[in-house]
Amino acid sequence: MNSIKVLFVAAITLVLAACGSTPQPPVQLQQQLLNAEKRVGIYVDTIQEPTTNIYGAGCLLCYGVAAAANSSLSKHLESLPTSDIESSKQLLLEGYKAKTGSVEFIELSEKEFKKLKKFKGELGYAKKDFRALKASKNIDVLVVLDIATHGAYRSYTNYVPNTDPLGYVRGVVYSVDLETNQYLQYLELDKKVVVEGEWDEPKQKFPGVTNAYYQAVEQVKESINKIFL
Amino acid sequence: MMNIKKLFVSLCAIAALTGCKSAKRDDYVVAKSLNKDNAIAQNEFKFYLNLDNKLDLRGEYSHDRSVAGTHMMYYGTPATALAQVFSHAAINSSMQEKKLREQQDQANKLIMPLIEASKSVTHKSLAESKRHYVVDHPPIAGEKTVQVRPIFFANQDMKKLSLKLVAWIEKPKSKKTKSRKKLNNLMYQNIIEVHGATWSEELAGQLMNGNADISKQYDALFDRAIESLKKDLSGTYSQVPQQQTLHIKKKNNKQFLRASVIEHSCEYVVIKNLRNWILHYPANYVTNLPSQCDS
Repeated sequence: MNSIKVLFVAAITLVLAACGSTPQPPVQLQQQLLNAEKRVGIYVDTIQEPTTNIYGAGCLLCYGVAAAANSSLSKHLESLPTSDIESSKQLLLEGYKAKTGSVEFIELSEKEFKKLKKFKGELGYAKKDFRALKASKNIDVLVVLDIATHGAYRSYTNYVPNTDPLGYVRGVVYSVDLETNQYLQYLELDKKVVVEGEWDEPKQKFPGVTNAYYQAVEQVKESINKIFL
Repeated sequence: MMNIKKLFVSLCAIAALTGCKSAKRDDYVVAKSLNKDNAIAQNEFKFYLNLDNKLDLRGEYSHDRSVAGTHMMYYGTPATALAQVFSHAAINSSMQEKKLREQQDQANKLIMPLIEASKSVTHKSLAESKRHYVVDHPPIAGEKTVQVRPIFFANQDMKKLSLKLVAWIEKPKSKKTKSRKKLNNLMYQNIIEVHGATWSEELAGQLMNGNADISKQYDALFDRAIESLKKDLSGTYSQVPQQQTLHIKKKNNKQFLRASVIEHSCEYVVIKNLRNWILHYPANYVTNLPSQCDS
């Protein structure tokens, strides 16, 4: 019986060890691979409305309690316009316009995105095989901006918060050479900004957290601008 | 029955945890604008400053209260589990406050030489050039005299000063309520924050050695704050333009601020932040606004 248990634990350990993959390190923009002839397509994934992101509330009830405790903040954040964060796509457009001759935004439906196969390359290669887009979208380089979440970040241990809400934007921006599926640039965006002074100001529409959120947005824009330096 | 207990525990926990708020500090107020009918004409402006109080100079400190999570296993009946959640929340909250206090104490220690060098500066010396505005007794509730409390901050390098001027006017006694909230019994409350320019190495040295008059540095910030307060009370700042994100130059990086620009000259940019506080920055510190200086 014991040997079965040992075998089971060993198998689980092996499976879980295999699940851990080395994260993609940042890749500086390979400017030498860009020239006036390259056609660049920028794809911006749908940006959801800002909200409160709760981490560490480790059980369903804990999460429910944490979400309820932050509901007025979430409601406020959800009322903020997304135009500021969305304007970061213009920075990408302008940045690539300065490097290449043809740049445009492209549309990719969820179906098209799902259709893309996995790409089994080493680090430095995109996880999806984007190469098919070269012909279908008539581009040489695909640029992806994916803002996964934004608004506020609050860390919990079960029911109890460890931090005040922080201004928060998380996402990734990368470009892929559609000849090789290799990253020409890769940068994870993860900005957390501490609120100056008080944060719990529901009657004033959370000015502290709102300001911290806009600070995080601006820091993301700075990071995007730095790609082209 | 079990579901009702669970619901009760959840509700109590929500109530307790919404209480995990940041503690109120004395350099923070909720802004309350003066009603249009109560606006104070600039030539009627008077303020009260407690001349016996010492200069309040503090180190700029980090506001980050984040602490590493302390794990706790809740067990037992809903009541005992709830008690454990309460104690967990209390422990975390006290750790967060301790961290903030330590950061403030540490920041104050770092600027001790500047505190020493500023001993000649007092509330009396600050009010000297504004004598015509100062009243010498605390206003009786209802008098339209604004009370002010200046709190100065210095950065860790001791090369830059800023001032937070807390200002308030109490309601007449007849209009005061029994509310425990101080704001309900005030006609006006705000913070005027003035940032000075960074001192050169040479000037910083002279100020620390007593070879230059350090009181002038404090006076300049205080005078600017009082003039701005006068404008706020007279209704000059009541029209607020659209908000934008401003880029403010800091020592080695940039700070971003969501605010409305209410005054812009060659020397200073005056803005209203999302809390409606009025902030003054040297114009060349705001890097994403066009210069107003004649070239």
